Amino acid sequence: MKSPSFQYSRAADVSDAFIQCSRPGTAFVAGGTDLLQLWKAGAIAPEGVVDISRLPLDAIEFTDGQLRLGALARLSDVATHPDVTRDHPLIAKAILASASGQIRNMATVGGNLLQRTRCPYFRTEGLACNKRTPGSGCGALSGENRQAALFGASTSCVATHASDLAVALTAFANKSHARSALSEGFQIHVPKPVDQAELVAVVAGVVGRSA
Amino acid sequence: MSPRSSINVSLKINGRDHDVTSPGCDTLLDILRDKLGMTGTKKGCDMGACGACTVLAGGRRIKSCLALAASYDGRSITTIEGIGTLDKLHRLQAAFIRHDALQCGYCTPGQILSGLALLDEKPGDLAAIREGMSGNLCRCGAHPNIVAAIAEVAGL
Repeated sequence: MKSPSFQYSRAADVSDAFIQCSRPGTAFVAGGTDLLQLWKAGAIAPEGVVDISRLPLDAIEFTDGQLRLGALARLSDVATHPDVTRDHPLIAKAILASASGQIRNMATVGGNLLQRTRCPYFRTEGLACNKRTPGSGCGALSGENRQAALFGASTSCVATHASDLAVALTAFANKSHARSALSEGFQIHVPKPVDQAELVAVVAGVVGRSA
Repeated sequence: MSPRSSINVSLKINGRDHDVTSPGCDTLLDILRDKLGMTGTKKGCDMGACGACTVLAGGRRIKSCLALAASYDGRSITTIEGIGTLDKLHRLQAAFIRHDALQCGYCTPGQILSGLALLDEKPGDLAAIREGMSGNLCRCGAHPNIVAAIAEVAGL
């Protein structure tokens, strides 16, 4: 089935991007690696797509020990940047564990963090998914769910976020991030670096078994 | 499709300028194959997994099935039609033949373009070639021979 077409436009600058994207049914596109998959799978049907890939937001800056990654920095550029490989090898390794060389040349940092879940029930038309079609149920709850959530899930949805980069970035989380996670409804937050025995005990507690 | 939703896209493909008018939601792959008749670039999964649609954009390998053509307006694209000639194959193409790196050949254009970009990334060993080519699937299972062909050209 061919997905319904959309109108393409290019953002002239950042404020133009916000103005254009304020129209209902409009989505941003940069690398396109997630948006086009979602569109082809029928998981989204935007009326308009605003191309932000040429905005000057792709800088990778390392100053005073602080690494700043532009939302439009390409994953391959981040993973091979000398400052990143020298001082933040975890970020480089996480990116290189993601997707393929071709996709990493296209995908951006912002798009990677904003990608939708890769739960197959979300991405397959006709299967039950509360996230795509509220009220239709969660097929993953008792179906193909090897990659579904152990923590932070509910009886309506067990989808996870697929980003390897996000996992690496959470390694820099501190106690305030843990508080934020708990206030957002996480029942448990295990801080990093993870102690293996503690992690096993926590998982055992969640699933109601002894470690 | 209303004419209003069509846009003009200028592409420099294999060194030659092409102007096409096309719906804004067309992928680079669809433009290459359906508008320009350049069918060397293949459509496999059409979802960014198989790599049959690999082309170079500004010298970097991308999956053209997940690329909006309009996003590449004004850019230089290299497809398999721009690599070697019947009389004088590119040395990676010749290496593919020597190493029997294909059976049905459907994935080969994507393998060649991906392999060329990988050679520019200077893989240090066979493991780096295997990892670097993980975005290109071969249903015939020629992967060991594909890796051997690339390794030969890389001097490994």
